[in-house]
Amino acid sequence: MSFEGIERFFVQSWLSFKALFGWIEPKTYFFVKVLNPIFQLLFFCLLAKYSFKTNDLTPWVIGNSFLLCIYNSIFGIGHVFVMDRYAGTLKMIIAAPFNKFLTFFQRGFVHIIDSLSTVAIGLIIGSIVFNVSFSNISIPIFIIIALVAMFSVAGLGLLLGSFGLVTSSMNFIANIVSMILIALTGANFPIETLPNSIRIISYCLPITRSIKAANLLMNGGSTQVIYSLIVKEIFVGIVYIALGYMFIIITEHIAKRKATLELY
Amino acid sequence: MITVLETIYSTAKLQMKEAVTRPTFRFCLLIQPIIYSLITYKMFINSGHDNFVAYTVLGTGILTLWSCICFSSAGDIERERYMGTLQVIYNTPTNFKVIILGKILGNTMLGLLPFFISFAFVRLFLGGDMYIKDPMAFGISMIITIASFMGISMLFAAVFTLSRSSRILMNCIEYPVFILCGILFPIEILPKWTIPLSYILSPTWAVKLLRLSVEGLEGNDIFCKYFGILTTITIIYFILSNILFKIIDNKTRIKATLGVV
Repeated sequence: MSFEGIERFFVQSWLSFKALFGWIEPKTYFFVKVLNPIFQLLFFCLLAKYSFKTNDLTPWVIGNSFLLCIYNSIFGIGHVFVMDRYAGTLKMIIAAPFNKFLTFFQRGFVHIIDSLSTVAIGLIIGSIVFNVSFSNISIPIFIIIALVAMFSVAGLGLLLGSFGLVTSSMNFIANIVSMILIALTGANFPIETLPNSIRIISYCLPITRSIKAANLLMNGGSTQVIYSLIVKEIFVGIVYIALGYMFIIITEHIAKRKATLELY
Repeated sequence: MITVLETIYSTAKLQMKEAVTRPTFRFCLLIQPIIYSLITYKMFINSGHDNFVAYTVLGTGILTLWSCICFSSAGDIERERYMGTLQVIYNTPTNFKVIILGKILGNTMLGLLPFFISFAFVRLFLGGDMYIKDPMAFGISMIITIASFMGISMLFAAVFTLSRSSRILMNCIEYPVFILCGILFPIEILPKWTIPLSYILSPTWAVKLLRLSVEGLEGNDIFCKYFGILTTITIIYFILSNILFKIIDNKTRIKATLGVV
């Protein structure tokens, strides 16, 4: 890839990011990306405080902060094609002699970085409000866990986004997936309490292992187990990206055959 | 009067048909109660509450009812504007507020469905059981709860019509109300400075009233007190929304912004 190509990649990423959420206005960004995630985090942590009758809310602060990345990774990346359809540019993207997956990936790239800021805000607010201390842990490892979590959820977002070529109900799909992530990744209750059949779904989801690894790190758990969970989470992310790539080829074919590129 | 009731009935019917065609509303109505039930059931199972299933079902039902209000009632005027039908509705011989009331009634009726979905899910898939110690009080509480949710919907519909940031607000009022109204935990666990905010929101009193009737009344005093407060707040909401709708009427006639997207 030439320098011009790399530059175009980042320019496209940035423009798509700005256009998707209309973040030219700082007020919109503040409400959608700062205030709303904070309230989501506070709600689930307070619920845990009351239902589990505990004052140590470390696992819930970590789990629910990680989950805040769904605003970017699921709703942001998942809506890339839908927003292009509304802007009237989807036909041009499909017709362009350029790798669709790369186009798609460049549009989601800034979301991955931005989701880290939301997660960081969640962790900072959560640690202040609920007295969670990060002083006794290895911060670089914690950052690696967070990065790996964002990567694997972005993989799921890429997979979901591919469906945007054949359906106009992406909001419905994104909402279901985000709720499933809140329920089944172990952020709010131990996944061991779920029936076996549902537990399999939990292990197939991104973030499950990252939350477990971060909680182990906070509790001084085995480094080997933590590293093994990180590697498994990376693998989950790669699988989702591969599936996303495959599904874009399939859905592009279906969209052309069924003429759903302009399905509103 | 009969014409007004007929308008409310037919608008509510149309609204119910229209609302279920929207994917986000379908999500709020059908999927959200199931997932919230699972989360709250699993979180409360070892809480020591002997009637925690009632807590789960009621909490989930109210959470979802509120979500339906956020994503439908509060945004209905804005939606009509985007569809280009707001001017038509506004200029019909029937009072605009009556039509909005009909829409809100339709949404609220649909919003009651999650209570049953949540109960059925918890009963059939999680094996949970619940009891209502005072069904009569529960019935009365439910009626005033529906009225109060309609009142707050009218108020939000008016506020959101006046605001240029209605879509942002719509997405951002969900969790603050979940927290402030103590839908799944008592407001006493919140910082003291937030309590006055909780008290001016009708869902706080609706939840208190419903929980009281589920747990059983030891005396009528507290029930009557909560009932009185909730009724008063609901009346205030309707009065405020009436004033706001008059302001909207005035503004739209001066600025001619009914069709401005």
